[in-house]
Amino acid sequence: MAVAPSDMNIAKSQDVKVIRVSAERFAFTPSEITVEKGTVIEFHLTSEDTDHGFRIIDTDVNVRIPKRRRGETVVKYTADTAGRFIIECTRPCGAGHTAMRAVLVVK
Amino acid sequence: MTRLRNFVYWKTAVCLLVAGSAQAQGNEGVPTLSGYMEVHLNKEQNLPSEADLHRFVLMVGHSFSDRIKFWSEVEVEHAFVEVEGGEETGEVAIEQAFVDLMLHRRFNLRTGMVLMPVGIINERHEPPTFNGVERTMVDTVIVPTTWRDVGVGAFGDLGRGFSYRAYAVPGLDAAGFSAEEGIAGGRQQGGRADTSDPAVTARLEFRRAGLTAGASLWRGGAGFGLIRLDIETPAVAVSSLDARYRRGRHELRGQWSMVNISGAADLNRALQIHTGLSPNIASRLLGAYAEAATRVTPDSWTDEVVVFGRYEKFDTQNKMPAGYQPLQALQRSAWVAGATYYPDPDVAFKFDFIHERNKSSVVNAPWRINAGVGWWF
Repeated sequence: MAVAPSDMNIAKSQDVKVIRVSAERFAFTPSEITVEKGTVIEFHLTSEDTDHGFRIIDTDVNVRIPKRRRGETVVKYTADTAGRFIIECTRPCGAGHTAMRAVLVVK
Repeated sequence: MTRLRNFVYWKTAVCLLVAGSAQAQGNEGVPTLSGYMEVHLNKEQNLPSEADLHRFVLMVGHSFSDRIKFWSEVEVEHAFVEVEGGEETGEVAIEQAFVDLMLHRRFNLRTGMVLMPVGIINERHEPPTFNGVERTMVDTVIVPTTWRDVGVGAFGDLGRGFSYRAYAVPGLDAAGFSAEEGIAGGRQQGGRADTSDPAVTARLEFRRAGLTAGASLWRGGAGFGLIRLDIETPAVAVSSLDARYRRGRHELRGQWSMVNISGAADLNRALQIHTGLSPNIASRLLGAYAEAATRVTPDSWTDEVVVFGRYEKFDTQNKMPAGYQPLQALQRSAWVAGATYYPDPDVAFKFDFIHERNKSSVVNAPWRINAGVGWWF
């Protein structure tokens, strides 16, 4: 479940795992993120070039990552369902855009 | 000629309208529009300066679903296409048009017009992503960017920072090879490409903490256009290693690329019989460059100025087949110095000076000054 920044107080009582993800044509770094089920993840998303999208398929996380040195996007997600979730770039970014993916593994 | 030019404008306009309207809806599942453009001012020693809309590129993509994606790139080079003195002044080309079938993180399928996964620039050529007004000479005469063809293959993420791409594609047409531009003239570029001499190409890439390193290979036949010349089928192997490393405001990048052409002696003899002139094709072409760049503007500025220096070696006559001498004017190297101003990360105003040298004692290599602007949207 994604938590909007304005609603972050909802998740404050739980342990929050901060994960920094850097986006650059045409990859996310890290490209594999593993957490325990129930973890509240606080994604800090930055770009090394143009703006990118950050969508976790089958969840309601779908945000835009600002361009290089234009700040970061912070989004929270409660990993309450075990499984492998594909993360994809949703903002066209160039020749390798369709393959710009990562994976979130919830154990 | 006018009809051809009108066709280009018409097709571009339709593409803009259709894709632009889809983009305006901004919904998942409808086509997206993006693209890049480059306008250059080039001055070469002893030649008049030229102003050129070098590339006007539109990219249309579409997600049929989370598992099926489409991506395409339509390019107009040098503003329009007209035949003058038997040569085209520009080019309209489909540089990419493929469908991805996403099966598994480690294994996905791709088919259509694909980019050869060789070197840094061929797959990553949006103007704000590289320094210098023009692409590097290594990525022009050794690795012939933009190198593409119809193919089928796989790609995926292997974990621990490793990813790969591998395709089967049609081979090259050795009848188009030349001493000056190597294998560039042999690309079939996906238009009724002859598949009787197929090729394979693959790239393994590693990314971690500011570092991207890659190893690329292209290997295949190149003799389908020479069947009637009764010679041993020439084969081509392209090997390339590259790396980019960024830390803070500094970036280093480099690439080493080598092309081996087997049967080059037979190829030269056969083409000489056919055309009356030996093309003096080498059996080995070698290129490499190293570039250092640094952002000189303060961290507090959103506008950025990057200065860079690069050394390139691009020798299309590196090793000759027995009985052939290298054309020393084509054993070239260059020092390049320049700057890039980014008022936005997607807009790059560029300037560079190129001091080229060669091994000839007769032919002087010209210096060049380039200015330009490139943008991505």
